[in-house]
Amino acid sequence: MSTYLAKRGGVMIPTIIGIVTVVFLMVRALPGDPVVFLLGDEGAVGAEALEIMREQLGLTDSIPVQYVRYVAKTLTFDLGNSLLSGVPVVELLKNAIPITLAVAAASVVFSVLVAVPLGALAAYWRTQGKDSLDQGLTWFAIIADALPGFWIALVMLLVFSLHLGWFPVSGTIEWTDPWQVFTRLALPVVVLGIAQLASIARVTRTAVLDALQDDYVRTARSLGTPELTILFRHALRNSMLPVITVLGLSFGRLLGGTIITENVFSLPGMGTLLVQGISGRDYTVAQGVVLVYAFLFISVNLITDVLYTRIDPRVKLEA
Amino acid sequence: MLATKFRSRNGPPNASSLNHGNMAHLMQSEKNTLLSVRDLSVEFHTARGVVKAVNSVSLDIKAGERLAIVGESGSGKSIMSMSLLQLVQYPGRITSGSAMLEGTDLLALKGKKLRAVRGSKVTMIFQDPMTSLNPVLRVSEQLIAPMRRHLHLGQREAKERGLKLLAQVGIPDAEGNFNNYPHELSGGMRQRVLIAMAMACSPRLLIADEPTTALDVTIQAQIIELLAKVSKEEGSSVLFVTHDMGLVARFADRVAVMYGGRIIESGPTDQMFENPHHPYTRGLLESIPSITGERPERLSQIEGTPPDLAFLPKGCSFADRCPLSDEVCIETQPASLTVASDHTAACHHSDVVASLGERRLFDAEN
Ligand SMILES: Nc1ncnc2c1ncn2[C@@H]1O[C@H](COP(=O)(O)OP(=O)(O)O)[C@@H](O)[C@H]1O
Ligand SMILES: [Mg+2]
Repeated sequence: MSTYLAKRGGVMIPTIIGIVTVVFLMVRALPGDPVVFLLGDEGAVGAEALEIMREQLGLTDSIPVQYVRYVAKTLTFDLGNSLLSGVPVVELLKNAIPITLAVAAASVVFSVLVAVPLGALAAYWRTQGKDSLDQGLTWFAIIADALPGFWIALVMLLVFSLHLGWFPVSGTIEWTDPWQVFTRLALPVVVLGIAQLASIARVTRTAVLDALQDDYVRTARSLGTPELTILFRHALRNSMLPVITVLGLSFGRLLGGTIITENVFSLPGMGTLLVQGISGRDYTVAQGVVLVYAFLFISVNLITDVLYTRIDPRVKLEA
Repeated sequence: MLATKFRSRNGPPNASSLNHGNMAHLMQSEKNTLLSVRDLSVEFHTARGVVKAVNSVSLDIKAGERLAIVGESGSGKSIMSMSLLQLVQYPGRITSGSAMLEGTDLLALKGKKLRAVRGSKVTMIFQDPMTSLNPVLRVSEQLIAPMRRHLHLGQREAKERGLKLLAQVGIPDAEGNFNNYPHELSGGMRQRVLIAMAMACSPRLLIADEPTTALDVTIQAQIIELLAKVSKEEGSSVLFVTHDMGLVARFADRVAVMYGGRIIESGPTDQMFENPHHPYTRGLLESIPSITGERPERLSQIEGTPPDLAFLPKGCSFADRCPLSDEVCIETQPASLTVASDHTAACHHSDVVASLGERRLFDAEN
């Protein structure tokens, strides 16, 4: 296992360099000039002022020079300073990452806790000839897939924050105050969770339905195992591989979802930071955020692979 | 006589060691009926119509007795035996019948009471050991669970008993295999584990549904011997489902032949082999290949296919394959009649079959 992890870690380095490169080029391909954003256009401040600023920021160097400098710095965890505020990007990320991670992780937990039992029960009842929950889930999936996430987010914000006033609309996150964290994160977590619910429930339902036909279920039943144990200990455990796979695959979409959701709910996470960085042509900030997103994505892939072995002893990891 | 010929040519030389002669091991409990099944019917409601997988089956098993259920695949053996533990799943449904075991009707049990019987008083092992154990749970967890549940053993006691059981069913390195996952064991070893699980609570009745069909021939014999050994040690009756007449001769005290979801003949093994009264039983016996190594003389073959259980004929369901069938067979279903002591057959022409002697009823294949 540890040699596997070492090898996988080794493979990650070229991947990360590739991502760093793509991010660098992408940000530079954005239309607009950051210096103009910073100081105003040429008519207002004069060409000279813009030129001085450019030089200070190292933007007068050729793209390859900028690239080499950027890669070298990145590898030492120096992501530069924000072009707009001058604050080190690493500092900005330090505040933003926990928020995004908390929202993403909580939404995964929320959707798994709701969708997996629902999917499992739908499958179980189906084997008993009752398929109303199964049909309900199908309808829910159709509707949930059709509604865009930002629309759900806006409706939730309108109803629960503005109309009912149950949750605050804005404000920073005080990690020392669990209740405040909860009220600030609850809505975004639910919004992101709903987007995942349908697919997780469907995959669980199909896999459990399969597993319930397996011979070992009959064996367990013939030995007097209670039905709930059969469903959750025997069938569900054997159905977790596809569920984990779907979770891993949909993690990218989940990260995308956090960007929109954070902005709707004014959460100062990475998504908000990214939008600020892009709209302000703040290259360094945008680069830094995308880099972290990419790193998270790779890590989740690795975690899912390792989880496979925890769940199914027949899976052997080979690098 | 033809009958002795059937018998002698199927069993390998050591067959008698397994069969203990004529129910010699039954001496004590010969009269006590353990399980009494009456009028058991199971149906599947499918898009094709109502599949009548089991039709009004009645049978008795005495304490310590080994009863074989034989018949072609699709004749309802598995469904019948699974229904005794209410293991038939939707869309299958037990539509009638009772199965009295020591004063309780197995078919009327529900919930907790049903689960208390499953795995303790009555247990079952299945055809395919490769898939009958849960791949993600260790052998130990699966073996211990029923003992903890039914015998209320603590973790340590259950483990001790589990290890003893593994040794008892002939698993080498019981300690090592105890903590293995099923995929680390061979098919034969897995069937041994499943037998250990089934015997863990000393059941009154062990149902074995083709326990050796999926195994290598060499291992088949070992598993059969093991089943004979453990059931004798625990005094358990065995309901043994098979389509292998050779195994029946070696293993069973009594035989019930199933065809089209019905038991069409049943009786003591010796009588069934010596003097079959149903043409289908007769056909099965005529088609046993020799396993003693001699060149088989000629084997008969029953032409045709088993009946479609969704569209059972009004008369005898064997009529379309039977050389003896006539108007009566096609029009009326034969009742199950006693043809000798403890021997019943459901055939309008059972007397003809019984008087066949050395003559063949079915054409031999080339
Ligand atoms: N799930 C099911 N749906 C419909 N029919 C079934 C189902 N399971 C079994 N049957 C019917 O029951 C019959 C008997 O099956 P089974 O008991 O498995 O036969 P055997 O064990 O003798 O080979 C089959 O021929 C089939 O027609
Ligand atoms: Mg079968």
